[in-house]
Amino acid sequence: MTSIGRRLGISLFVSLLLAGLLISQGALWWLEREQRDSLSASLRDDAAGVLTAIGRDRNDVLTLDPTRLHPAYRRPLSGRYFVVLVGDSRWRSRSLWDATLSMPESPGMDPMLQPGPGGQQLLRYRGEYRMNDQPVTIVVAQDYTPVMTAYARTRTAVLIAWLVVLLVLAGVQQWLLRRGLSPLRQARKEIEQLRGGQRNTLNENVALELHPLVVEINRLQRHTEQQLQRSRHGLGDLGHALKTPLAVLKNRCNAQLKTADPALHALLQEQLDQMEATIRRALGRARVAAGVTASNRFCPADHVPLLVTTLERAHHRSLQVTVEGDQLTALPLERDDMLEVLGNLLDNAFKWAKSHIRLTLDQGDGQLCLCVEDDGPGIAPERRQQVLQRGQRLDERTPGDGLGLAIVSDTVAAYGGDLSLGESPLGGLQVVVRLPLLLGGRQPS
Amino acid sequence: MRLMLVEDSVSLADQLIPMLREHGYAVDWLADGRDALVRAHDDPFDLVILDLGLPGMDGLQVLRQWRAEGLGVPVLILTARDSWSEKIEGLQLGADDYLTKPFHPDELLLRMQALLRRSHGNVNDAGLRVGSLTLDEQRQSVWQGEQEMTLTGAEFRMLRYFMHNPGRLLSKGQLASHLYDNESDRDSNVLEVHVNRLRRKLGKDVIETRRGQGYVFIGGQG
Repeated sequence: MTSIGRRLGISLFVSLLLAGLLISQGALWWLEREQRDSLSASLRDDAAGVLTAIGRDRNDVLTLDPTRLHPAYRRPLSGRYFVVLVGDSRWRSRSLWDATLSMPESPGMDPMLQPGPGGQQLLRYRGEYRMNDQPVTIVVAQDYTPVMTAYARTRTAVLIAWLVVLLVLAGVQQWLLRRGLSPLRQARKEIEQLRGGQRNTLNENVALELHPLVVEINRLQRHTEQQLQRSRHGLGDLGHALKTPLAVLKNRCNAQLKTADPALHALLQEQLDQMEATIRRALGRARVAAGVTASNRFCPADHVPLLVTTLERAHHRSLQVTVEGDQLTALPLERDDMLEVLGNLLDNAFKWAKSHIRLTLDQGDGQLCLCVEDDGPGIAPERRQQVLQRGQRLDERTPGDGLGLAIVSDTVAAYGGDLSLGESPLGGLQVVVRLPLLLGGRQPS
Repeated sequence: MRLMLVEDSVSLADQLIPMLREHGYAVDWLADGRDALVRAHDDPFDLVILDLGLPGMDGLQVLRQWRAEGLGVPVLILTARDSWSEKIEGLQLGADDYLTKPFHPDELLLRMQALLRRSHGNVNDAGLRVGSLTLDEQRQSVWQGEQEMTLTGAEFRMLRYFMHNPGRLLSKGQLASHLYDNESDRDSNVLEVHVNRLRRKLGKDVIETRRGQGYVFIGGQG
């Protein structure tokens, strides 16, 4: 998954880096050019200066008057040099010492630097003049290395400064990004809370860009809840419409046919029982919400004691009921579904237990583990699978039937969990239900 | 025992009413939630069997209002709504028991008997017992020690009411209102006849007469 924040951060950083490098390099290049231009102007002046030092002696021969030259031309390797060609004579500045100064091929500034004495890099200018109808060629040169080292220093300084600025900018940018993306983070947190059951709706007082999204999520949420409510209500009505006639038929069948026609009574009774089981199981399955709603959360700390009290009142048996781990607060599981699971499991336990029932809840590893145990007769290993699959009546003596377990199994399957039957250390049946608590849940298939 | 049946299915009521009467209950039948709401205050019902999907007013709402009005009559919810969240809701609202349709009539009778025993403070789970007398509600007979005595329907009804209220002074009016529904004839002479018959069967001391006030059921002593 890509992160908007990281992507924005990286692209902004790269663009800052590129822009900074281009601008600084461009500025340095341009400055150097300016410097070279100004140096060539001064070289031209130097050439003119050398020219003025050329005079005529009494014989009308051109001579160079050293006193009129810049003192730097006399100091060896001073960095300023000249060569003058007049006819056959060739004058060199003393500063050249024993080195030679090669002439640029064409007059004017030489664009290339020329290696000079003592590792110097020379910038040269060749001027062509006429004096006494004689061509005079003057080449002046100046050491360019001090400028180059100065520029290298400047460049390093600029680079370091730029890096510092870049780091500061990147920091500021991160801060701005974080601030700019904080509504998104807030929304994400709220969505997590919504799934975790800590809130019912998202806060609609958000940034303009996010507003439609948040409103839409809230609308969908409400819609889903209403839909679930409606379909549960509809199912309740359907159940009512089917079960009351079934009750009438069963009662009539019991009252009148049992003695008059036992065979017909048995047949009708069996068929009616089957119809009842089918209706109950289908309704049970259709009622499962399995993660479609976010509100109406299962909260063990509130709901488990309520359920246990209800069962104790309904069964009126002096049983010892131990509950462990019911201190958990809201879980991302639907309240009615969990009440159905626990209600059916505990109801079975209440029916079969001799004296003791134990309920253990444990949250960990991204799942909720429910364990219901009793000290009743239990179910033989070979019958366990059968019980879950067909919702069979376990025993005729206790009112009710094994349908509860089948409904529990359906609900657990809709949540993508698993249910297993085993033998409890208490001696009776142990039912272990594991439900994943991952965000999103799974749609009932 | 006088009970109110609130059930909108006519065919179910047609089955339940004769069965309940056969088992010695005086039954008043109502099909509308709003009628039930009012009616519960008019007669001293010992038990209400309440359906939830009622026309006029939902059963749960009726129950909530009864409890808010301070009506403490035991209520057994008899409904097709069988999810646990609905059961819990019903019991939280003050129902005393919850039975889902379709049901076995014997199951209903057993639950009613247990509920009536509890509502009169009798914690005995096994059956209705006062002193040496034990009432067999299934066979409508009474055991005195090891000896079983048969009872007529009217005697059974009266003895059951007495046994639910041992040691309490019961006026003839009270007895009549708990033993007969609105469709029955109420004649105080009939009550006297039944009291005398019970005395003849169970012993003279079983029921004490308080002249001008009514009767007190003492219970068999041996």
